[in-house]
Amino acid sequence: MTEQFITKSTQVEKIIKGFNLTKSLLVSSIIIGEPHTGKRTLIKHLFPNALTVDGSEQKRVEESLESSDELIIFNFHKLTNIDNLNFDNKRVIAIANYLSNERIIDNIFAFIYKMPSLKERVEDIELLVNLFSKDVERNLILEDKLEIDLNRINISSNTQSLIKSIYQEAFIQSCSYADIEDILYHYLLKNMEGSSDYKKYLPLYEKPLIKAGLKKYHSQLRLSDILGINRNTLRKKIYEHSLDQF
Amino acid sequence: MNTLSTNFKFFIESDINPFILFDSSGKILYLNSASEVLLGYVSRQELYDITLIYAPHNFGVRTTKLELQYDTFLFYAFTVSYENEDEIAIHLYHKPRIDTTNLLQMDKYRTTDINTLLEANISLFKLQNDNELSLLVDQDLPPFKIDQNQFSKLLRKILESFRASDSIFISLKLKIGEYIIIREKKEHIIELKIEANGRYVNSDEEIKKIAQANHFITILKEHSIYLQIPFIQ
Repeated sequence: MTEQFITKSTQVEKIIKGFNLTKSLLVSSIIIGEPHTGKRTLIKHLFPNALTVDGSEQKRVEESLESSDELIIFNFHKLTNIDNLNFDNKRVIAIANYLSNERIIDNIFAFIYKMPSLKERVEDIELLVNLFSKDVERNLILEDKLEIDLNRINISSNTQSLIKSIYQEAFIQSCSYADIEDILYHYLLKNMEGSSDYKKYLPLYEKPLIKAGLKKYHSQLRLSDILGINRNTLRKKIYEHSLDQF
Repeated sequence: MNTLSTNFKFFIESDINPFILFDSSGKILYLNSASEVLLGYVSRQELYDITLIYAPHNFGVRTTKLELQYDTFLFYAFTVSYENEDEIAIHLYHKPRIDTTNLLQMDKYRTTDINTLLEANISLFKLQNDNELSLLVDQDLPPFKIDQNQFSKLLRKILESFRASDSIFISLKLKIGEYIIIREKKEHIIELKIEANGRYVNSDEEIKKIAQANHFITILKEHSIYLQIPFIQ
């Protein structure tokens, strides 16, 4: 099956152009970038029929180089010995998370590409969120379409943290009253141990209640009516939970 | 003593090494055809000055081993000779361009469209650099045999040496009338010229090394690099 790769990034489009130009040539190329930036998906998308080997398996890489003219080596940084690899007359595409030995890599590869991280290609975030949201909706059998606030997406570990953020958002958005009860039950069962736990864990309910109320009704006066508590009590609780800015 | 009386002009005329005869004021009395091409790249006055500086102290012949480079012409030595006060000659000797001990590994050579290879390398360069780049290539150049990997590696290093230049001019053309001997066969030359307003020279040794290993001729100047590639078909 051909891997799907989507991008709006000019940098990545240039990398694709470069690979497309060398598709028919017997040259060695390497693409280097942080983990989970889509390097492997991109290469499998561009070279769907190439044999793929894992750089953690030195012997297998050496054997594959003997038998194949076109080879993708992922985890290239994990190869223990790259000095003796023979890339002559082959189309080798290596994928690495970092430069393991700059001098040797410069020496054995004709084309060296640097895959930008998601921080360096923010234009791809929305595209990827939309793509993975569909997967999440399908996997979790969600009936409603996910509405994702891009500001809440974590891209510190590229697509790995991005996907995790979508799952978290999906879970938050689809939780029922009973689910929340269950979550609290499991959490409290695991963590309850002190002598003043009522006071300690009450904010788990109280804080989101007031925070949501302030966002929804904008006024403390109105919220105190809605919640049926004294205005001074509400103000005190807002102060206790540091919700003054809301 | 040689007593043969014949007209040696034909032999000098057809010598690939430039030969020039000056009068005492530096005016050219005779030059062979190789010199005519050379004078397109170096002034008559400069060659005359060299002739006088390296002339023997008395009538006779003096050969000096000194590397001289004028554009793509590279000489390893020259002879200055005179036997009267009115005429003085300089004979320059081309430096051998090919290391015959390094044989071409033809199995690595693949028939290649050089323009595609060039475009791929420029595309890689543009990924990391935003220099203005102008290109003048001959799209009709027929494919020829080249080690694609080595050529790309060399081109990457050459282009990187121009990374700080504002604008880079690249031209690729077939050289007319110049040849290179590869495997005892006269081959045409493709010349890739890259010019800019300056360049880094720290990779020059490496560039020369890769070029030499692949029978490319490199001329590295302050603002430009010439790469002469054997046109093997």
